[in-house]
Amino acid sequence: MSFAGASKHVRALEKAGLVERRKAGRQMLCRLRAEPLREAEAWLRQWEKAWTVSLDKLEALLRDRKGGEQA
Amino acid sequence: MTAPIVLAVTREIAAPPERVFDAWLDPAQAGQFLFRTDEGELVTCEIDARVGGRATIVERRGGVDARHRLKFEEIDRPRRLVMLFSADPAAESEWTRVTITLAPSGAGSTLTLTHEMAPQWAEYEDRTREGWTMILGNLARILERHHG
Repeated sequence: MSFAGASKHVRALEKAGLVERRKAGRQMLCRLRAEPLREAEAWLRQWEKAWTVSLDKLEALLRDRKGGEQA
Repeated sequence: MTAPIVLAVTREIAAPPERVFDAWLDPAQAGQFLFRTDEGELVTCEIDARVGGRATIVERRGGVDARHRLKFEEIDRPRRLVMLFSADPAAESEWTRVTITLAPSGAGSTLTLTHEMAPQWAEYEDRTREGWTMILGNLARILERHHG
């Protein structure tokens, strides 16, 4: 990857709030901020859990109705 | 790169696709499973089951109302149901997309649910989320270039 290419990606990371940039003389220091990644992970975990509960209940509901209709 | 964050869940259900599909749109049935928890108490389950129609499901959990909002985008019985979805504490405008697909499987069905957080369906006010989406887009392009 070219320097310009890498620089573009670092700017995208910065805009996303995932990287903080700081100039120190001729150097550019970058620091990773992982909070947004953790937020995305938390989102996935939360909904995976919620959908699992809903689908368990859907399965139980359709099982019960089937039994009810046959009886 | 259309759906940067996707959650997918697959289930085998012992009922034909028509029965499973209808359960999502019938308030009497949906109110018994959709966004329900063991601890919660159902407050509201309103479903306007047509394209462009909305649904509201509210469950009271420990004295607090958990509100779930849906907006139907595609209703193709019994194969496919596509909804925009938003739940507390997300803002009303912060939609994600939920797609249910059903296929016959033996005497029952295979249900696949995908939940996508993607920029084209969401009006993200949250800058970090917007950024996360962009990052994954960039990463994907880098990886594609390396493989291509």
